[in-house]
Amino acid sequence: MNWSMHLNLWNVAAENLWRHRRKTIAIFVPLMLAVTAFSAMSFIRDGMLKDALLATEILPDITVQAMIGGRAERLSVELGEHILKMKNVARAAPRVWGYAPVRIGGDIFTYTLMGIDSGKMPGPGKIGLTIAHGRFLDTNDLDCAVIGKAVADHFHVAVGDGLDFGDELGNRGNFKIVGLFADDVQIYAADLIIVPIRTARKFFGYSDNEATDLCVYLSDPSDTDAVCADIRSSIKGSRVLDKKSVGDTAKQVYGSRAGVFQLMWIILLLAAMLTAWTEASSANLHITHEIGVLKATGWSTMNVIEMKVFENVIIAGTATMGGMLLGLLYLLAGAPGIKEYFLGWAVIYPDMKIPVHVCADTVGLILAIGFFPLLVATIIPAWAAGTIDPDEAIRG
Amino acid sequence: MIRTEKLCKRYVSRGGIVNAVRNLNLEVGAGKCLLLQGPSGSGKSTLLNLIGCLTHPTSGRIFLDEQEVSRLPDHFLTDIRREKIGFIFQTFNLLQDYTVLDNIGMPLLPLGLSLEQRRQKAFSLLQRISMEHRAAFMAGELSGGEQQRVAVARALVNDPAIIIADEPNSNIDRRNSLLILELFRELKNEGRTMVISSHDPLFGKDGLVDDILTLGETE
Repeated sequence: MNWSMHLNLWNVAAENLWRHRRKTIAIFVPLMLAVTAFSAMSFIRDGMLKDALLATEILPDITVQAMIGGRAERLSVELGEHILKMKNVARAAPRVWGYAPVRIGGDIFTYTLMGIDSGKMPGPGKIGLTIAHGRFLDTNDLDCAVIGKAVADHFHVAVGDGLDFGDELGNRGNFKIVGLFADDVQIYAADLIIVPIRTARKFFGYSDNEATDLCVYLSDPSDTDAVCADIRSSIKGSRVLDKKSVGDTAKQVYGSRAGVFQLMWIILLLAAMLTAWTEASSANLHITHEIGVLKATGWSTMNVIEMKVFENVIIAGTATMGGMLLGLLYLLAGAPGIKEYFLGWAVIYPDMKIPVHVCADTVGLILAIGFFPLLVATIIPAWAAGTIDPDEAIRG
Repeated sequence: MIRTEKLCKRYVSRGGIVNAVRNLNLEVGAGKCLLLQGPSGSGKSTLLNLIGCLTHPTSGRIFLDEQEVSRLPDHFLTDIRREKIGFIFQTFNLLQDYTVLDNIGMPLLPLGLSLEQRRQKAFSLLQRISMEHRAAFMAGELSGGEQQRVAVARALVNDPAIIIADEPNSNIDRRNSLLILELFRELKNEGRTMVISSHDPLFGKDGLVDDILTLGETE
C-alpha cells in the first residue's frame, strides 16, 4: 500500500480546509453545536435512565398501597400478615414514609423520611443501599437514622452525630446518625433518611398498626403477575405496583424528556448539512474545474474522492470529538439551563448531582451522526464531478 | 508515436449536433512537432483533448506508442496522462489558491513523493523557466505570461514524452511568448513529441515545427 500517497492526500486535504477556512468554519460550527447539544442530551438522558432503573431495581417485587377515593391512605399492618400467607410470598414488610419539607436558608428542600421494620425487611444490600460508613439499622434501634451522603453533607453531620430534624408541617424528631449510604443512586443519596418504623410512626403520627405501604418480596420473582392478581382480588381497593411496571414508567418519563432537545440538535445538524451541500454545490463549478485540472495532470478519480473524504473526515472528526467533549464539560459544569428540565422535581433536592452516563452505544450513535450526514452532503457532489471527463470538467 | 484513424468527436448541444472532429487520420512521429492551424471552431482544441486523453472519441481510434487509448477506462487513462503526456492549456488552468511551487508539484502528489522531493523537483523546473523568485507567490498573483510559463513547468514535472499545447501564446505578451517558444525548442531537442495548436506565426519559424495540419470549419 502506498502510504505516502495517502499521507500526501491527507496533508493536501488539511491544507485545503485552511485555504478555504470561511467555508470550513461555516460547516464546522453548526455541526459541532449539533453534536454538543445531542451529546449533552444523550449523556444526561442515559444517566437519568440508569439512575432511575437502578432505583427501580432495588424496589420490592410488589408494593401494596390502600386507595380510598383515588388517594393513597394508611393501611393496616394486618394486611401484611394476610399477604404473607399467599403462595410464593417470602416477606411482607410494612413501611411508614412521607415527604418532609425542610427550610434551609430561604429555600424549602423536600426529603423522604422512611421507616422500616429491619426485622422483616431484607438487608441493606437487598434493598439497594451500600453502607459507606457506620452500620445499617438493627431491630432494637429507636430514633436512629441512616442517611445519604449528600444529606449528611447538607446538614453537616457524620456518623455518631445527632440530627435535629423538623419539617414545615410541624413534624419533629431527633435522630442519632448510625450510618451513611453511598451515592450509587443519586436520587436516594440526595434525599433519603431511613429510620426505624417506630420512629417514623412517631414523626408522622401513625398508630402502631398503621403503615404507608407494604413491601412484598417473592420467593420466585418471575411469578409476580399471579401474586399481584391474588392481592388485588383479596384486598379490595388496593393498588398493587410491580417492579417491572414502575421501571417501564421511569424509562418512559426520563426518555421522553430528551425528546424536546431532539428538535434543537436536528435543526443544527440540518444547518450543517445544508451549508455543506450548498458550499459543495454552489462552488461546484469551481470544484469541478479544479478536479478536472487535477485529473488532466495525472490525478485519478479515486485520488480526488479520497482527498474530499479526508477533508470531511477532518471536519467531521474534529467537530464530533470536540462536540462530545463540550457536551461533557457542559454537564460537568452543572448543565445550566437544562438541569431543571431534566431533573424536574428532583432539582429541589440539594446537592443532587446530574447523573451522567457515557456508554459505547451512545458514543457510536454520536459518531455516526457527526460523520455520515456530512460525508453524504459533500462526497456526492465531489464524486459526480470526479467521474466526468477532465475536458468536460475544465470547460464547465 | 501518435496516430489516429478515422477519428470523430461529436457534441450534442441545445443548438444541435456539432461534429468537432470528423474522420481525421494523422500521424506524428516520435520526437516530431506537429502544428495545428485552422479558424476558430475548427476542432483544434477538441483534437488536442482527444490526443491528450482528456475526453473519449465518438468513433475512430487513437494510438499512443501503438497502444490504443480510445476506449480505455478512466483509471488507465489516468496513468497515461500522468506518465506520458504534459498538457498546456490556453487558459493556463493553474489552481489559483495554491502557490506556484505547489501548482508545479501537484502532479507528483499521487506518486507518493515526499514534500521535500516534490518541492525539489518543482523548484528545478522553476529555475528552468527563470521564475524561482516567484516560488511562494499564489498563482493568481502572476501575470498571464508568468502563469503560462508555470503551466509549462507543471506539464514537464513528470518528464512526459509527449507535450500537447493548446494556443500556448494566445493570452500572453510577446516577451513571454518568446520565452515559451525557446522552451519548446529545448523540449523538441530533448526528443519529445509535440502537438501544438497556434495562430502565432512565430511557431512556423526556426525549424521547431516538422509538419502543419490545417483543420477546416466544423459542421
